[in-house]
Amino acid sequence: MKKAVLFTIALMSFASMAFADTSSGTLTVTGTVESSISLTVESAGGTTSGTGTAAATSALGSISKYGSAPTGFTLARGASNWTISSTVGVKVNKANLTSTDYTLTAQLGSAPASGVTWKLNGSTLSDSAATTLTSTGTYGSTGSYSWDIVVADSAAAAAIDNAINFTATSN
Amino acid sequence: MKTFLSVALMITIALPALGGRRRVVAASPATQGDLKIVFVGVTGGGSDAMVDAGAMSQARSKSKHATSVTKKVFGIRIDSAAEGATATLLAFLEVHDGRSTIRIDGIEIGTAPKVIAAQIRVGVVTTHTIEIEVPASVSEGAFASAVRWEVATN
Repeated sequence: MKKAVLFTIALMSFASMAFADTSSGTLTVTGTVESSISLTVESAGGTTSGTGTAAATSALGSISKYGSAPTGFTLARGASNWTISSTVGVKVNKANLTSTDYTLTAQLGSAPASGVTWKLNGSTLSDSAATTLTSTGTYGSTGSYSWDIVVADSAAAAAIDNAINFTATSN
Repeated sequence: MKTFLSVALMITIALPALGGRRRVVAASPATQGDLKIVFVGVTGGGSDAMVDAGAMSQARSKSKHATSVTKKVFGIRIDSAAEGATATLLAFLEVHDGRSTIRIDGIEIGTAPKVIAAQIRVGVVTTHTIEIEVPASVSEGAFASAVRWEVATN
């Protein structure tokens, strides 16, 4: 009797489960992965803002041969000129790319003030042509490049504002 | 007693059939097979639709991590004659090339079905977000996956 009742209950349970209605559908997902690289300025002399992005700004304040060096810079006085020196840290990351290294160039955004020379890694920068800083840059690590601004004693007292445009190209 | 048990068993076995017939005869034409998933706001619509993430790259992504992420919002409606009913919605990867991670409403989808919504109302469009993430280590090129959706009335 007991077994028969249990069997009956079991049958009723299976019968109830059969009432659930089911259906299905498919959502296909497609796309195309494109390779890319990114460049960020990680550090620079001066009072710097925007580090870790692709657009950083360094404010040097008022600079003079016989004054103090700006924050993060050293000052060296020559016979007919003076130089403030620091470094610029640049990092290049890659994604979905098989390239193992990159070439980094720099170019001034505008012509430097008369008597003022901008240098990176010892090379003089211009606004007319890009200067190669490295052709074997390592992805994911910050490359440090020496940064010098040489001011002739004969240069007029005026703003030296400029921009250094970095370009990274995967090899 | 044996006669009673035999009759009870026969009634038990016959109940589902009788019940099913009653549902067909009722004014509402709800029967198995009426239940349907309808995608809204994606290419294709109906029960088989497509989401094209387009070109994905880390440079285009808003993510600061070493991945490319794109999100798309779409709708799902469960059609059934059983108005007012609720259903359970599950999803799993039916086809996957391993080049991306797919999340629905924040739930990472794998090959085993996962519940996306346990009490989805029949006849109402619910919005869902599909998130497609491509790691930086994946080589460039096309990717494709198919998310299988299953719905069962509660």
